[in-house]
Amino acid sequence: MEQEPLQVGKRILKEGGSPRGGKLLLFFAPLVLLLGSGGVTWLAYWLPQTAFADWTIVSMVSLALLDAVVVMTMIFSTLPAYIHFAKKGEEAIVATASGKERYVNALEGSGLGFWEYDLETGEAFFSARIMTMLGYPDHDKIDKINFWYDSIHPEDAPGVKREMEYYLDRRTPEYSIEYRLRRANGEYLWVLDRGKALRDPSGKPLKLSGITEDVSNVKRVQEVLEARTNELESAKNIIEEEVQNVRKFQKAVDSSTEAVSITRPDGTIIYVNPAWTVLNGYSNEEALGRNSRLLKSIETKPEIFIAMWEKLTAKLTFRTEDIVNKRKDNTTYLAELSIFPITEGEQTLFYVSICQDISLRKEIDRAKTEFVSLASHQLRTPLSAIRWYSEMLLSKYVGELNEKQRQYVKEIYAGNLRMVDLVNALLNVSRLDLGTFAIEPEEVSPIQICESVLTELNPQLIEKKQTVERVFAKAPATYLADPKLVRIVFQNLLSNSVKYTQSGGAIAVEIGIKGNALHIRVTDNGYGIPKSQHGKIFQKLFRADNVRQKDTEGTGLGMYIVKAIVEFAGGQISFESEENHGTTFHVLLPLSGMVKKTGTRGLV
Amino acid sequence: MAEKQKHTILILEDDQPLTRALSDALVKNGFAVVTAATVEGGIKKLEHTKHIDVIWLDHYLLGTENGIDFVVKVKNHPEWKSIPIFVVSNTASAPSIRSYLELGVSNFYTKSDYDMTQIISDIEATLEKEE
Repeated sequence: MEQEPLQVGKRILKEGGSPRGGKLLLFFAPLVLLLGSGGVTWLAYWLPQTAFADWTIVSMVSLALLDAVVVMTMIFSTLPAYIHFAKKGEEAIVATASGKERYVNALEGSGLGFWEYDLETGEAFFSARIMTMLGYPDHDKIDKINFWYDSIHPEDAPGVKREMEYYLDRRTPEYSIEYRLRRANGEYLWVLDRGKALRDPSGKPLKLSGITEDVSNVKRVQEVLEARTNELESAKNIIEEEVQNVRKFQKAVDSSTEAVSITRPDGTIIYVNPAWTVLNGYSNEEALGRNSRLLKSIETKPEIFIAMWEKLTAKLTFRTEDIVNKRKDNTTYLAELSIFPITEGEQTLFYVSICQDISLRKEIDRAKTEFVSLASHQLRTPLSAIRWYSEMLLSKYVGELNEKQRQYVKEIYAGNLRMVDLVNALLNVSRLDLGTFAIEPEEVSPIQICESVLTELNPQLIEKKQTVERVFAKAPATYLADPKLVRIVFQNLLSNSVKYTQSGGAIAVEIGIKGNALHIRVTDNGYGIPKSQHGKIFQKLFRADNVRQKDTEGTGLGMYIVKAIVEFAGGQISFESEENHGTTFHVLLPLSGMVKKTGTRGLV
Repeated sequence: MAEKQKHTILILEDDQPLTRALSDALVKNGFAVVTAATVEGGIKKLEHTKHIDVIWLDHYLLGTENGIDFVVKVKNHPEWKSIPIFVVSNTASAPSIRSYLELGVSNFYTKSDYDMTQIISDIEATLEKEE
């Protein structure tokens, strides 16, 4: 254990031992010298009177010499101990000093500043290290303690004072505190102070001395650590929350009534929920690790799979209601399937599939559609009665009606016609939905069909003073199609243009060939379709807001029917429209024509 | 109109209000009208009426048989097979319409889509052509 320098010095002195005989020498040497000189004096007086007078000088010299020898002997026997002691003292001083120097060097080397506060005088010593730490010139300083007090950060000063008082009063065992000290440039520095009091035997503190350490780096590290700890803490919280979320989702997916499966990009099944196992008859263990192809049934049309891979390779969601899945027991069911690719950047990580047996729903849909079809048929008989009786009233078979009566019956007749149109449209929709309509292709002239529709619309065209531009230069002379279907397409597109274009407006109809398709274009400069409703234009019973206000007629079924016909025929329909600027519809039908389809019903 | 010889028309229609409207309209247009609501009734009328020039036929009729059964019977009867038949129906399916046309009826109309006068004038035109 390191000993304090002072202790080392004391130990060395102790080892040297205390010299002895000094005091005796100091007492006896003068006595011997006194006795010697007294003897000499007595000889000088007494001897000449005796017979030995001649020996007087010799005796005196002999006695003086003896005296000197005794004293010298005494001195020589005592002196070496003192010389030795002096040497040891020197050693002790050197050892003490060098020990202290070690401490000072160590202090300086450690970067610790040293201070001493004299409680009596109120003066304090600050080592050069403290001064440089605070940005002052590099030498020791002795100043009033206030120099230090005034440098403490105002927020920390009361705490530091209290700590010091408590320690000096012995209420705390040590003085040790971290606080901020103002540097010469006004910045603050975090320091750690530790000190020890020097007390008198009664315990009253005399001096307080100690060291000051620059802990701003430590503080900074501490702050960084604290910040990191906080970050970690919040990251941990987030992770915990995420884990909770994942658990929630897992629970939700597990308890979903829809069959959910997750596969790798290669189709390997890595998760199925209980609903999936119930639906498909495979247990969890049987499904995991297998390829999702295990559900594939030959009843699914190949084009479904082609469409599926097109979507999935483009990282898009695929949805179908036309897939047939095979259970473990080889029974099949019609499924609604949605596949969502889960991607990260360019990479597809998983496919999440949600599947539902929709056989029953399809059956219900079919039953509903059949009901609509049946109801529509039943409606036709009373509609015929209204039509024919109002017709008879108007044709004067039973006498002349007055003007008002005639007008009323005309309203009944017109209302009935609208009802007939609606019923016919409903029938067409139900036939398209059920797939029961027939396509009977024959060579038709698209121009002729278009012209006959325009002839029918002539009264309205005249009434609204609208012009129709015909662009038939590139029209094929004949086209293989069901004339009724082509007629429905022209009828809806053109009558919509007439209906939804202001008086004096312009309509254009073009028939031509575009690539390997028959291209029909109908353009008007009418009311247009509001942007927000573009997505709904082909929905059943949809009518745009802006035209509903202008025209109460219209079933909202026309465009649905047209789209269904065009798509059944393998074609496409699209449009451009801007509100108040008009609308253009494009219909593209395969140039090869329509394919025959037998069905129980034709469209009307 | 008095000089013009009256044509007799047989109406086979199950719905009474429609039959009445049709009879009135045809009478106003100078026809003699005979009606029936079943295939059996129609055949009886053909047998017992002196001469029937034209038949107005609905597809759906009372009884177990429908318009197609009636047309088959008429077309197989040597005396009746040349009587023009106009099928006017609200309920016929595409295959039945095709059957009617294949059996040689003069025309098919969806009832609710036509005024009576439109069909009557077609009938008159056909009868005039025959004379």
